[in-house]
Formats: sequence, C-alpha cells, structure tokens
Amino acid sequence: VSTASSSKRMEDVRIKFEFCGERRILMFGRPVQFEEVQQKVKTFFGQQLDLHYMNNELSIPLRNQDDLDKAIDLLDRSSNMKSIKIMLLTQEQSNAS
Amino acid sequence: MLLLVLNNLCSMESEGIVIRIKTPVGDMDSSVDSPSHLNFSDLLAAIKDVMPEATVTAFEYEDEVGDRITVRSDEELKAMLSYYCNTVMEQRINGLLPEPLQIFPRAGKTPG
Repeated sequence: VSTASSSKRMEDVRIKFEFCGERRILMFGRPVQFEEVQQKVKTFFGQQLDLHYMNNELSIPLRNQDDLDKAIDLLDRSSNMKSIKIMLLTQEQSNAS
Repeated sequence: MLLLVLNNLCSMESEGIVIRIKTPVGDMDSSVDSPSHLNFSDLLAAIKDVMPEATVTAFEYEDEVGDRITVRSDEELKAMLSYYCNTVMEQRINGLLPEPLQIFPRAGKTPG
C-alpha cells in the first residue's frame, strides 16, 4: 500500500465534467453525495443532466450513490488518476447512445 | 497586481504565486501574494488590464493530463488553485523551480 493512495483518501474529490466540448473541474468534500453532485451539475450547467463515468474508452452511467462510490473507489486505488471524469449528457443524448 | 496575505490553501507555501496570462500578443505575469483570497472577478479584471480590447468572461488552464479546463466561477477557480498548489509542491519536492500558473483567456469577439 503506497502512502500516496492513503493520503488521497483524505483529499477532496476532484470531478472533471465534460459537456458540449467544454471541461470544468469542481471539488467535492468527502463523503461525496450523489444528490450533491447532481445538484451542482444543475447549478453550473443550468439543467438536469445524466452523468456518465468515463474511464479510457469505457463509459458507465452513474445512476445512484453506489455507482458514484465505486467511481471514487477506483480513483482512490489508482496511483496516477487525479480526478473522476464525468461526461454530461442530456436525456435525449443518453437515450440515443 | 493583487496584494494580499496567504493562508491555508497553499499550506506549504509562504510566498504567493505567479499567474501567467497567455494572450495572442504575448505573456503577462501577475503575482498573487495570497492565492486563497483571489477571486474570479479579480482575475478577470487583471485579464482585462492585459487585454482591454477583448471581452473575456472565462479562461482556461491545463490540468495534469493536458486537458484544457474552463473556469467560470469562484468555485472552479478554487479547484484550479488547489491543483496548482499540489503541482508546485511536487515540483519543490523534486527540486524543480515552480512554473507559473498559465491561464488562457477565452476572448470573445473584439468589438470594432
């Protein structure tokens, strides 16, 4: 177990949101609440958007606290990942993909 | 120039930071004595001093993987400074001279 990953667990969680080709980073205090993330997205992007966790080529919809916890767990275990990447899609876009 | 006092945001630092505003006509360094007291509108005002002819409402910076991140609010500014302070600490640990924080103003159309 590296000291890097244990100290990471104390830090705020950085979430990198991508919407319409623009990337924005927000920090969330632990424990990160799913509702809080949804609310922030609504405030910052002006509408309710679906969250999709991005990891390399993989995209997984984040639908609840459990999904979010798993994404944060992956961040904490990774030694080189410094933020969680979330793609924001409108409901029409989500259904199309 | 923004002159303020430093506190816990950059806990390992005591001497402020330098923000390098990248513009199409060249770079402009602006020193910030207290990153923790810097707010978004201060920084936009500093950009406006450098680029008086442009309408700037946001700026970008590059994160650790080289992605351009847009900043449009105090909260995002805070995330940028926290990222930058971590980078500076890492550079110091590795015996490197800290690089200035580079920001790229997002210029709108130049009127006239």
